[in-house]
Amino acid sequence: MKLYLNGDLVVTQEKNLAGLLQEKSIDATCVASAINGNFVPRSRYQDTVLKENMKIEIVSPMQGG
Amino acid sequence: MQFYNEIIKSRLLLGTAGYPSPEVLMQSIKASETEIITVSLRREGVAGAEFRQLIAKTQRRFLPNTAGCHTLKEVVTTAKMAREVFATNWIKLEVIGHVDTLQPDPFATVEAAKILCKEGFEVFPYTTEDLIVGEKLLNVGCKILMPWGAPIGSGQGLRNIEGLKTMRRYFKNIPLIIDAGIGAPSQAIQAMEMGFDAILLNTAIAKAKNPILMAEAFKKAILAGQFAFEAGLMEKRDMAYTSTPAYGLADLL
Repeated sequence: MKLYLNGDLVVTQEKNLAGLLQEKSIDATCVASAINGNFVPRSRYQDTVLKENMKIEIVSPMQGG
Repeated sequence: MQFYNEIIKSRLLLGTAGYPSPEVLMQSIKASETEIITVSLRREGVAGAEFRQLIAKTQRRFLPNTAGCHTLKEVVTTAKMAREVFATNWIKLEVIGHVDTLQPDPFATVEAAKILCKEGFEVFPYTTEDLIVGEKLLNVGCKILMPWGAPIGSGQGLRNIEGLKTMRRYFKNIPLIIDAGIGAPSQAIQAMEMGFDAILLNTAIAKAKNPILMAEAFKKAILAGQFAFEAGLMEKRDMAYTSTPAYGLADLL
């Protein structure tokens, strides 16, 4: 399946968001996620099913003013 | 001073962007004695882990921002993500109206504040000195207002002193934080002498030749301004007025 992760086109066999984070070695406890512009809470990663062309954003703390 | 339910002693809120190195950022936070640092959310990348560890070491309260957001949807999603990552209901609400001026969009800011307050956020809205916008932000649930001094990163100080004085007088019991545009400690003193509750700074310290020393300068300036306001400034006079008593002056003619 093809989808967009932080703007990059990626191909994955994973079925859900938790699996995708694991595949990409991203520690789910340190990041937050949105799919197609909508927030997905951590508690929903397991049951959030990946779909073709989804736009997934994974963010973490950064410098800010 | 109280921000929502938290008692805050330091009147300086410090941004974490644009420092020459992580070490200088850490030392500047320490020198400023700030209790609150502003942070943002960006795409997870290689620098993510290092910054996470760094801010955890600061042991300061986090005020995550919505910097870079232009639409309601972006703001609300960013705020929800920030709440989860930083484990705080605090959100520095910035809805930018124009990419060049970085002026807040007052209409979208009020709309976003309404949604976020309903969702349980404690909103710190970046706004202008406009009284009606301020009223509307309070009406939708904000308990703090953050008027700009001047455009973000401009270092111009207080561009509309009379307007800000009116705002201070009008919102007598609301914490007012000058956010953006402060470039020099003298400008911070001026704001504090006018009775503002705190100053939010970033560029003036981060881009100083010696950020750590500038952090100390701002800490002392803000304290001086606060003391001066509490002490009560003398009235200005049009003419000179002798301070040494004339009574008892020796006749030496």
